[in-house]
Amino acid sequence: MSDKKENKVAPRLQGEHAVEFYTPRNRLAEVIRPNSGHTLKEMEFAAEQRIRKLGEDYPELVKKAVADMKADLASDAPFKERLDDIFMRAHDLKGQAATFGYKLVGDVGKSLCAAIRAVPDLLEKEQDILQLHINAISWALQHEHDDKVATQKSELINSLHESIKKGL
Amino acid sequence: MSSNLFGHNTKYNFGDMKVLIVDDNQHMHNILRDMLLGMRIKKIRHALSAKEGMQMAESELPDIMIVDLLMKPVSGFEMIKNIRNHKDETIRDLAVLVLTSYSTVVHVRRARDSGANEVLCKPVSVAGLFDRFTYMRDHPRQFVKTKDYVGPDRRRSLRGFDGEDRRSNPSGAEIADDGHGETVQISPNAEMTDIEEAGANE
Repeated sequence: MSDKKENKVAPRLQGEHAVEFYTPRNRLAEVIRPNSGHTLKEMEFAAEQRIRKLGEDYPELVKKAVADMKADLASDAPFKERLDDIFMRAHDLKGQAATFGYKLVGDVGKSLCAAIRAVPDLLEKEQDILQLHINAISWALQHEHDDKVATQKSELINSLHESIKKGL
Repeated sequence: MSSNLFGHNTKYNFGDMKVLIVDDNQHMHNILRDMLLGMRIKKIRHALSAKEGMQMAESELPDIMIVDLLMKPVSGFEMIKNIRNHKDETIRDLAVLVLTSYSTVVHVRRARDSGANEVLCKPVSVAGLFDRFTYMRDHPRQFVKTKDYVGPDRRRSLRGFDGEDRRSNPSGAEIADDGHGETVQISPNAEMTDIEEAGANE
């Protein structure tokens, strides 16, 4: 049986089916050195000191993004372009929110991004839903760390989802 | 997924690493910069668009690129494809870490099919960066060149192959059929392990 196997000549794949494998130089192995330097905990501690300071700017960033989204909504550009711009702003907010401890802002941003991707036609007809989400970002920013409105906070995302369902 | 985080007391020195961040959001640059500085990485370059990122990749030749997917006018997906199709192999083989808020399987798979080495989902953290950097260091992947794809081998089977090595040049051979008339192919939906886990967390 082994003789039979040895006699077979494996044809090479050619033309558009050609496949080439190669091993590139592992440059990361050359510059990342284990067993020296710092532990993860030490790195996290050093980064945290810097990021805490950066987090102080986050509320201003959210306010600017909200103002920009409102301007996008009111502009004369084609709706699809405006929607894309709003999506990108919400997407950025969502990506950074958790890093700075603004979970609710991130959740509203996530809801807005999901709505833009899932029901763009509905949003074109019912632009109030977009407005509602943008206002919700402002509200979430204002009350993110306010325990007095815990119930409203827990209901915010559901109410946004309800507004979309109503429009469908 | 294998990870270096379990050995969190292990020390690593990232001090010689050169990182290029490509993201159109200035605030995200600031976050990443502070995290990388915390990791004692000092050679950090910043590009605010895919076009600028390509130019800096060519002029600076970083050890790794951290790329956002959602950029205008050229997306991160397109940029990675351009890197992988670059005529200069030192650029083509660059390590690319995608950083994205899209943690769905569809987006992670699309990033993989563009030629990304690894994907890290937001929110970004020092632990996440530490884990991906050391994982990429310790688990380098072969590259594959086909008509439709250039980049890291997308198959991630941890199962070794114990059959006969019939390649004429085992270190960089072309692939042949399996000797039984069956063609060995790279499937666009090749096996995923930790990538799918990332998407499943959505």
